[in-house]
Amino acid sequence: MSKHILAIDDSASIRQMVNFTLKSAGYHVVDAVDGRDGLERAKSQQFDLVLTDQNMPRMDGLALIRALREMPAYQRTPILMLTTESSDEMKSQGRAAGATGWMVKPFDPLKLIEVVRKVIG
Amino acid sequence: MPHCSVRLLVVGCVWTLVVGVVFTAVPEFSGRLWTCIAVVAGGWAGILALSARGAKGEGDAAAAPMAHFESELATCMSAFEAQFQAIELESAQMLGVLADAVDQLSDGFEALHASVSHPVPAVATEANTSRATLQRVVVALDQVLETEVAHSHASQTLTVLTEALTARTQQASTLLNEINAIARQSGLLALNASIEGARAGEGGREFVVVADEVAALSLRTEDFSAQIAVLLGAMQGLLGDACTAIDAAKAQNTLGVRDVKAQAEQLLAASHDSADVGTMSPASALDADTAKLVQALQFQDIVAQIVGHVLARVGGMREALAELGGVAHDAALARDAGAVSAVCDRAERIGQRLRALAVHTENPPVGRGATPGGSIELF
Repeated sequence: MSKHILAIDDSASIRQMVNFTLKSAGYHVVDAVDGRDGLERAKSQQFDLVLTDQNMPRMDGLALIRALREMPAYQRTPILMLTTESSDEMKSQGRAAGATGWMVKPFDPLKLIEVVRKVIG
Repeated sequence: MPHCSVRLLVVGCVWTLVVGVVFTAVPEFSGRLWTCIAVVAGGWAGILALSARGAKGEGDAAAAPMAHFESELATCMSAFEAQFQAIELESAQMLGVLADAVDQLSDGFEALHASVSHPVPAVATEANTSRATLQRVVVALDQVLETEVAHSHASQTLTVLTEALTARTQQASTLLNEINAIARQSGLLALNASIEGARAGEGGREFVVVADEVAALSLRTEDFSAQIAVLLGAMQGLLGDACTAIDAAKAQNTLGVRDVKAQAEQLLAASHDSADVGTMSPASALDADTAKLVQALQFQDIVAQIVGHVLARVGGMREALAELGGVAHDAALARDAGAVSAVCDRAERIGQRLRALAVHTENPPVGRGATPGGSIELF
């Protein structure tokens, strides 16, 4: 049974590329357009992995991670940041918020698959 | 002509008329032209003084709103300057990202083109691997052949030895038959000699001689027995040689089989390697090239997000500038405190809109200095 991944990004083309990459690796992917949309989808369905952007309207990635970590169902779920932010300060905030890992865009599809396999198999 | 000047002129004219009428109608003042002129002039002076003081008061009242207006205008200008600086930064960022994207796209397409158009290296590698594999197959077959030839020689030797053994066995059998026949004759002779010797008494001494002959035959029989023993020993040696030859053949055969097995295993591994080279490498190369292109396409997305951000800034600034132009026009026409205050309020609202625009565009869609990206860190 394929693992379910929630991919959150306000950029339609990034969502499309993430979707294409992970589906080709055998994963089932659900999209969300921003943090708030992602939170709603996470409440309605349990995902094995959450992949989120940082800079998004309405709710950014860090706020989303904090909200997810308060939910019992997502306290241990891996959450990967996929963002253009690469500063150590932002990474520290992500780690403090509960992120599992930090990937900087533009991402390498092969490396994305490798990391996802490493995290959820 | 300003509104206050007309009013001053009207008041002055009324004053002059009143004074003229009074000096004309009142008998006590008639003929006092200079006094009349002096009164009219004094009235004009007073009116002018009052007018000047009123104007000064109005100016003082308008001074504070004007200062406020100037302050709001300065705030707006600062906000515009900040937006322009941000646009300059984002434009430079776009140029950098576009340059990276172009470089990466060029590399990706070149690599893809090389992979699709010139798969020769992979094919050549596969061909070399196959050739080496075939050479090893030939060598292995040669070894098998040599092993088989050696095995054949061993079999021939074994056959010769077996034939010799058979001949010796036949010889031994013949000798044994003769021995048996002699033994039987010896026994009969010895028996006869004994019987005849006993009958003859003194005269049977001759038989004693016969008995001696029988004894000699017995000795010869012992001699034959010894020879048979030697022959049997030789046969045993031949049998031992045969066994050794057979064992050697077995061992050689086993070694050959082992060699062939080892070679077969190596060939099997080599064939797997060859299959990997032939089928996986080109696909992996294409995957890597495609991944590079997908990565390059994300640069375009990053630029698009920055452009959207810049457009939001420009749109907000265009609205603010249009509003500010209207405010400046109205400010030029304002001649009282109320009008100045109104344009001040409008300028303040423009400042508020610019501050809101700054807050809205404060969070950039792309982290500054993020490219080329691709790094991964697991916490």
